[in-house]
Amino acid sequence: MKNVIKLLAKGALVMLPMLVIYIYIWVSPMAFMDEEIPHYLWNKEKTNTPEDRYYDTIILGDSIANAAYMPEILSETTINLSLGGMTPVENYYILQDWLSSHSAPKVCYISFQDAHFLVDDCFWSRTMYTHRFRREQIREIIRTAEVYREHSILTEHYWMDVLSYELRLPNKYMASLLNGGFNQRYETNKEEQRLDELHGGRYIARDAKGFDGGHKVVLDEFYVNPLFEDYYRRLIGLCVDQGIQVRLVKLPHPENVSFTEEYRTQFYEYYEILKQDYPGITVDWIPTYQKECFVDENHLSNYGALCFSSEIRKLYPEDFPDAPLNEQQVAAVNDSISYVRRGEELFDWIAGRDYTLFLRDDEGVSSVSGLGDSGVQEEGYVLENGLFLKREPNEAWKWGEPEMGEVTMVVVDHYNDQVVYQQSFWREKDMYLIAE
Amino acid sequence: MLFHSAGFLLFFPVVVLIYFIIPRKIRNLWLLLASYYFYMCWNAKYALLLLTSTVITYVSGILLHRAEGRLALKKWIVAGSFVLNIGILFYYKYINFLLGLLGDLARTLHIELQVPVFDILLPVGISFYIFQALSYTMDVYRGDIYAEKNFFRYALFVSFFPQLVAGPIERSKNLLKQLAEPKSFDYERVREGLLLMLWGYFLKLVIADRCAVLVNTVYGDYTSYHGFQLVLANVLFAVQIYGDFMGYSVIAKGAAKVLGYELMENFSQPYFAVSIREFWRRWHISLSSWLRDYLYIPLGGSRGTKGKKYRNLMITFLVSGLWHGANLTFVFWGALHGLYQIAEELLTPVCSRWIQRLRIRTETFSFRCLQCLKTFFLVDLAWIFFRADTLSSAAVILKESFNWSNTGLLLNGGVYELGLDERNLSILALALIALAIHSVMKELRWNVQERLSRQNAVFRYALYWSAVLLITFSLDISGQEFIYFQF
Repeated sequence: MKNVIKLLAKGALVMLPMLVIYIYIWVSPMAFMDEEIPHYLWNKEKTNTPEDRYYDTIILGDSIANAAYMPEILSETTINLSLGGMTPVENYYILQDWLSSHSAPKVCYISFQDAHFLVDDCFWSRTMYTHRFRREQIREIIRTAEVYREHSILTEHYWMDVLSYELRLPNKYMASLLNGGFNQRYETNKEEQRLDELHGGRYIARDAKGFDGGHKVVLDEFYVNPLFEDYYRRLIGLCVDQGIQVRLVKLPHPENVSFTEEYRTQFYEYYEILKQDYPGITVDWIPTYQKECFVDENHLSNYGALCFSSEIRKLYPEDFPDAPLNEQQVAAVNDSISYVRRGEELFDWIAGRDYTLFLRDDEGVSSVSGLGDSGVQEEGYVLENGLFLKREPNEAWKWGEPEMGEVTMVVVDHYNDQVVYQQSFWREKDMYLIAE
Repeated sequence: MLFHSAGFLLFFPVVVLIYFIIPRKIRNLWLLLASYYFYMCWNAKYALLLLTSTVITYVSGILLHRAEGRLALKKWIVAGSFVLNIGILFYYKYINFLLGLLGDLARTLHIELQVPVFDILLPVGISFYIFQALSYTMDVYRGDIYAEKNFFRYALFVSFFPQLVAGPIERSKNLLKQLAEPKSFDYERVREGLLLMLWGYFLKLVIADRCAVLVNTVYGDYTSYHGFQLVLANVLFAVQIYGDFMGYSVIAKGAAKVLGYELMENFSQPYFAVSIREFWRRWHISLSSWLRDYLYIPLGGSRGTKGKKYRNLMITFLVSGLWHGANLTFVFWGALHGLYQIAEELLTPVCSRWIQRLRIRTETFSFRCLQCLKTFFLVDLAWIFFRADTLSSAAVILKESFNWSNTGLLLNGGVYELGLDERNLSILALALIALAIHSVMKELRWNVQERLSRQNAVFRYALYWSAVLLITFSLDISGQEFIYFQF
């Protein structure tokens, strides 16, 4: 017995470096995991923590839903709980978590890209990797996948893989650990979570660049695999049982994507059956948007999300009553404005909101108010000889001297009386390109 | 179940723990159950094949024992055992290959022939356990050992999990005898076994899997590379297959040692060989000695005329090639090694004359190094055919390997574009230095473990921790199956 103990003690001592790394993986996921992970952890925390605040609208879906629905534009009581790579399978449990610690919302918007009705391509790399879901939820998913023989989940040794992730064995996390280094991602990841809170859960394509238009894509088949059909219905059924209005929305595609008649027929037939089975749900297919609204073939950009969210507001005004922006919404809009790369988008960002856009070129300065012609000067802002002044003279802010043909744009947020955007552009027809 | 999978890390301690807790009488039965479970983790149905081969050779052994003194009958029994076992091997490994060749031949001759393709999954390690079982039949036939009457013990000999799927191909004289002896927990032996396993994991995960990244990148798109890139991939493949296979053998040896069994050495610094003949005495020793004892010598070996000897050599190496895989590339690889040996035999007298005339001192270190390099060059050349998917792709790789227009690759950072970044190449370089030191020590007949245990604790733990850290850091690129699993 003495020798056995000696062997175990020496064995543990030899394996000490691996044990230290193992413990680190357990206790500090935020310190090394890649920058997409904090969103899953934020989502887990948010859905499982009871709050005083009531959200009457929730968004579920995958990355395209996450990119498209902008809570700061929709309403202050909207939250986007969708996550990248998640299918109806995972979303069912997200809703379950939410309902276990929050009052049921009035409306639930659900959007998925077609691929997530066919495969759970991120089950291992995201669902398992991030530990977003509880053990019993994972086991239920695996057992259901076994029933439907869903190969995107059932890998060669899937129970062993489940165990490896549950035990957080280093082989599953070493790549992140090596790339992230020790404690080098903590600050960035915390910042991501702050932004998640600010943007009500929306994180996809927050600061992504534009889309070049891609090549022509023709979609000719709409199909839902049995496992996803099962969970899609469970998801809708859970909403219906809780008295939540379900709105299924097919999100817009860029101009290079088109659909055959066969696709449209299959799509409408499928949703017709769903509507018959769940009377009261709504189904919408939002048409094509211009490529400037996308960051790739599937995901809307910030500007695209602004357009889409504004359209949804108009489509269902009963879900999103008009109300002034609250402090958090303003901060979120300001943050989104800060990523603008095409000057002309600024006109849409300020529209209907208490912002002023100042444009200065070599001919002078002009301004556009988001709330119409209320006038900048009346608000206490003065523009003189190229000087842009705030209310207090000692807080003066000076325009730079414009180059020939250059337009400088400045956005002032009147909620907080601050400059939230300044950028120089070259004007080409109706477009403003960022000046080098 | 892979040795470097999470499953094995749970399986092995449980097996060892229970093995030493339960009464000695049922320990072999426990190991037998564990071994079948180990095998069934790949494909439960194929355990029946393992069992079939076991039953055939077990019954053959009993019949051979009963037929003592009747040579003709014994020959029939051996033939029956061989036909049935090789029949299983042929069906599961070679039938589609042969039909494919037949189809190709028919197409070449413009003959209309519908060749069926069987949907067969190659059972893991089939070549290993069938050869091991057949060696038992031969040993009983020759009277080298008595027939084993205890079926469970014999079944464990064929299926002993540490060496079941990738060898070493054990001899009944060694392993079967050990299985009959009681084993008890021995601290020193278990410690040595675990350290061997650690070294095996180092070879596999830190060296072989890292080399595999670069090799797979280059071989996966070989038309995009040439010259130095291909040479580097070829050299690293030689390192990869050595690290991979030796890693497996060392882990197997270590795991068996923990349980109280001593498996044979499968490698003896093969890249230090000064001739191809010596290379085969150092590389995959369990297979080359099997082929020598059960094929080459029964064919006549080196007895008779030179022509017969060369014929026997070629047959042995062609079988060796075919044993490795049902593909013409393996056959060519085997044939090349056969030709190497014949050429070596023919050229030795000529070379000796020149060496005498030029008064070259053959006992010097530099001469030996030169010979090692020559042997490595020839072996590495043959590895190209072993690694390539087809003969034509191997020919392209071989040809392009001599197109040296990118020698600056090492200096201008282009080497980092072959799949391994600076960090991984540095780790690989460090690990190769460790392997080289270890190989030199082994070559000098040093007992590495014993010498290591004499060092002070700080040095020892610095080494252990470095190895453990490098293994841990290699987990992100691991996941490659052992190359020899496919055979």
